[in-house]
Amino acid sequence: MTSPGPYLHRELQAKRELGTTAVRPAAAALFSGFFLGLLLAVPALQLALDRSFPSLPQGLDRGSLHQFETTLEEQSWVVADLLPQVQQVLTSVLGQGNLQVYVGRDGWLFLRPGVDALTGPGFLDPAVLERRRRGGEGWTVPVQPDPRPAFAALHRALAARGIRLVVLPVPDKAAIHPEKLARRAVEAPLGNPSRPELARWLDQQGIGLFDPAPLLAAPAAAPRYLATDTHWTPEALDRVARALARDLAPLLVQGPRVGWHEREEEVSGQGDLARMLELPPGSPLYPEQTVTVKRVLAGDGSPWRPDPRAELLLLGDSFSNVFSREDLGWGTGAGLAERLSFHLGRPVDRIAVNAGGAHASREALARDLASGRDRLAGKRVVVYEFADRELAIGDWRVLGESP
Amino acid sequence: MVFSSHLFLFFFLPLFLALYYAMPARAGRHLVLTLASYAFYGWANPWFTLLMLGSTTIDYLAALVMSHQGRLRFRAPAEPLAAGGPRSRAQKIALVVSLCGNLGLLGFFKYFNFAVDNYNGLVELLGMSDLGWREVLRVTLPLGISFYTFQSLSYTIDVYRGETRALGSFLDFACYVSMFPQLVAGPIVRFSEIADQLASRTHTVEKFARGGSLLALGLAKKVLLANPCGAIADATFGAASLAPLDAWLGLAAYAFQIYFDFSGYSDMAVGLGLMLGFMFAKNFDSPYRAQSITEFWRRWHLSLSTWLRDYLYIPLGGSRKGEARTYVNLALVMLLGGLWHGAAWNFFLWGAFHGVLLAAERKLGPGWNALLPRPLRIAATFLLVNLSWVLFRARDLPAAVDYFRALFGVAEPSAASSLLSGILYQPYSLLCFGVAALVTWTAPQAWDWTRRLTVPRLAACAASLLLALVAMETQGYNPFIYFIF
Repeated sequence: MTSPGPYLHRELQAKRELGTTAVRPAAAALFSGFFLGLLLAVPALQLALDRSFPSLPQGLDRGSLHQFETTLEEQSWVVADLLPQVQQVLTSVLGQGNLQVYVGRDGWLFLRPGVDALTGPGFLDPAVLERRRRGGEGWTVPVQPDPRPAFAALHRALAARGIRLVVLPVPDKAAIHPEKLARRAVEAPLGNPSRPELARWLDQQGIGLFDPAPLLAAPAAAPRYLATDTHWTPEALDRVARALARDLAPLLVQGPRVGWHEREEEVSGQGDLARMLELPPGSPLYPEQTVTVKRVLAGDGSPWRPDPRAELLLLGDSFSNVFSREDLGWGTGAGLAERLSFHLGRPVDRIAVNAGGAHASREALARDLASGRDRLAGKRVVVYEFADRELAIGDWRVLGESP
Repeated sequence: MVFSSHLFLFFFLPLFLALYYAMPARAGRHLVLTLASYAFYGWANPWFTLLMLGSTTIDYLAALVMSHQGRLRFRAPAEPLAAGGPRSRAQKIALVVSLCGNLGLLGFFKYFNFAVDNYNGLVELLGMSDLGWREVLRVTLPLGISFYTFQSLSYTIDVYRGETRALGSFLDFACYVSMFPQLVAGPIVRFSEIADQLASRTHTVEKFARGGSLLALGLAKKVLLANPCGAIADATFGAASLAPLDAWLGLAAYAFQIYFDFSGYSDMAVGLGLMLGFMFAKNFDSPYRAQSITEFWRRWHLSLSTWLRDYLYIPLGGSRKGEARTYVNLALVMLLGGLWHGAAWNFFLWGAFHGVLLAAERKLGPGWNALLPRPLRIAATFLLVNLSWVLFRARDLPAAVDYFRALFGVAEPSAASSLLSGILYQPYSLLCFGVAALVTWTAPQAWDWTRRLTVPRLAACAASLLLALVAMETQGYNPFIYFIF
């Protein structure tokens, strides 16, 4: 027979040690009141401050419940009013970022997924691919983690029309400026362990690869990335555009050069990483940075525009759009397509979508083709630009046999 | 839903407490507690509440059948079964149904994917990959299934043994199984521990204050210590390669993370229980102050280790059937204990590692390390436990091997691994790591410290709660580690 002793002893211990607490009744009551008051203060102040609560979940499925909980937190006055102050202290005193941002040295900030993609395992490692395929929330569509089928499908679709594909993965900031994050000496450029394998595969498939990492890591007078932004500086972008134009020029039909001219302008902005920290408005921690952009203009002074009749199509993400679209906060007219066009002396067409570099621009192209707008007509080259980290974290969904 | 979340602390808990205390009678309070527990559990996946309800129903009926000599009667028996007495065929069948039901649930949900993956691995190894099962469903593990099945099993086994009476009230039994304070990550509360409390318990301001202070300290452990240490560990265990110093820092950080995460959760569970008048047993006893592995297992996750001892080790014969059989029993218990934590060969090896160490200490006899001064005994034990945590934390066996290689400087760290130095050695991370170490080896246990709640101590608990709540909002979704077991 089993003795009841062992767990009975634990039960008796619990009753003896938890059952009586040496505390003055008034103190216990006061603490209990404080405890409950503190918990109730959050919803009570939400009402008093006339802030809204989210609607109750539409269904009892996981996705609806999760969405409700997320919205409840996001709309809370705690997150809106208190969190920025707390983040200010954490960042300024303790060098702490948040879930999206690492705090580096000398006022530099880094995007977490980008750094993790560099330090993490190879994105083509079979175990990694399998884990990513199986991961995710139950209510989300599983990702396609392997970029190779997407590249192959795009290459086939373009090759069928006699169009060459060139892939342009833009390295993460930490790959080119590791000295702004690491506390040990390290030489740039850095890369994910699977990069060489991908390069070999692309070569075997006959897909062009323009890797700007060595170019960006070459010694230069000025930083190649913005201190508090995810993206490269105008000078770095221009360096890449010039080199890319040199490589692509022989692939395009020779013809008269277009007379673009450029105009220098100063632009000031606060980086997207500084905004992601969600510091209080006007926080002095990460002031605006001023850069000089070279806006590309037509002969009559009108701004550069993408030309659907161009022989070259740029598919890109925010690395293409920065210095080109106002909403990125760094001016207009000096993005990758503009500078590429300037150095080629040829028109360039562009489909660039911020975020989702693994599939967003390909999806936009596919939508245009499906709606009868043939963006590939007359094209000889498609340059597919995306952030390098997308190889490790992106959803490389294959869009049938069309791009 | 997790304890350390906006939704639970600011909405669910106050609303629940209001409804609970609004009920005048015990039955009403148990109804509120049960419904709230099902809502709490179902938040992660509503379908899993049906599983828990099914398991609860099977065990409730099985216990009644056992208690009424093989007949189903919906009332509590006057006395427990005679301890050690004969059992009828029907009673034995009822026990088997409960065992198969609980272990079957656990086995299917926890080990189906593992079995399929290993089968596919085996056929591939044998060059027969066309026999593989590729298009097989992937089973999602229900939260807390390892805990509530063990908890429920302890009930039916104790009824069968005659150590406790079966419950006549389905509501009371459902309340016991589903009680949200300890449902998803323990402690595993044996029915015998709270049977009398289900029937009758007191609700006092002193208990509430003690419960609130334990919840505050538990939340502080989780949010202020476990989570920041977890960020360090995530960075190192997620890296492809590491410098040795980074690897050791990450490993120690994981040791702190898992301890403060789990003990913090246990404190919160005990605290919540106290607010409802329940007194749960202690689950941790400063395990990193242990001076041997044997002592470690008398201090770590006490509810699981005592469960395994009472329901597996002792029925297998314990140490009563000779030396060789004792070692076999020890090994079996630790291997199964390892697999209880997860369906992966890592956990099996983790259990084996501890089993070997326990057997070795048993062979050497107590006091085998008496020649070492106490701090060194503690340090040596901590080192061994840490090395076992590599197997526990690494995502798979190859990753665990890579981590060991990094620890001992066998692998050359990549250039990119230098970036980790900018992540791991930030002031915030080092501060939390340092405080975690200080608390581990010098601070009194929350359990003991709150036995005497002076005004300064209450103020400290209040400050901890405030700080933890503020920090919690900066951290996003942070489930407890043991939720996945």
